Amino acid sequence: MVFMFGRLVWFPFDDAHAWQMWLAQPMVWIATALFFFALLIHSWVGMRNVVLDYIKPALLKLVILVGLGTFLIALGLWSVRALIMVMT
Amino acid sequence: MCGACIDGVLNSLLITVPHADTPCYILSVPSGEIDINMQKKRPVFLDLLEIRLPVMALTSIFHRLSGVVLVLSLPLLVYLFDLSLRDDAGFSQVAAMLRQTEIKLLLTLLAFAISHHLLAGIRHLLIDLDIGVKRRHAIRSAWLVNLVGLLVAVVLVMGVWSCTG
Repeated sequence: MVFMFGRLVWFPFDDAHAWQMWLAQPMVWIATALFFFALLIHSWVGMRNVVLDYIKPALLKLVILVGLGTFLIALGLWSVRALIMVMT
Repeated sequence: MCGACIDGVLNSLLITVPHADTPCYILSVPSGEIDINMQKKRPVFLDLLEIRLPVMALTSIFHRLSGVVLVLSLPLLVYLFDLSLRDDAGFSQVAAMLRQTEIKLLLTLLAFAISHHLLAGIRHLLIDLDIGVKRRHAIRSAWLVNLVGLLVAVVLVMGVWSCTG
């Protein structure tokens, strides 16, 4: 991801096509997919810890955790859709 | 907020956390582990400016705070990612958005959050590996994380503002 950030900063892409082609390379594509996966798992673990520490009532805790899970899964599906769009 | 809650928070700041030699202070202590008698003898400073937290506590709290901020920013980032890949129109739309001052201010905030969060995370991992657990070292590494985090953020922020998209 540092590589991706650096690539974006130092050699900005001129148009959508160049950006799509770059991301469609297998290694870049896999690294990006893994990054999204790891990022969302990490979001879940971190936010779960925060919620469990500060929210005491059981029902409220459940509601917030379910909401959080839905939120993160939705983001995951969204990024998967974007990544699949690049390949096809 | 109820008075009892505020008392609870203040007390949890002032009592010694069990296993205090490990540098992990967070604004919440399981109530089962507090000795009630001990708690009552403690002085309670209600003046917020008088409360002094160890630097490790600040690092730990900022780690959480920055983590929450970063999670909240995810929808925007995934949206920009998706839109930029969709077609030429989406791509130039994202490029235009990244030139807006509001977005740059937001990216500035995120730059501070990510640089601190990343470094504090590495510090926590090292501490999990029993590296830098001693109080002396933990204080030093906490300062290091806070300062280098700011430094890295400044570099990132300069990138954000110099980039014309």
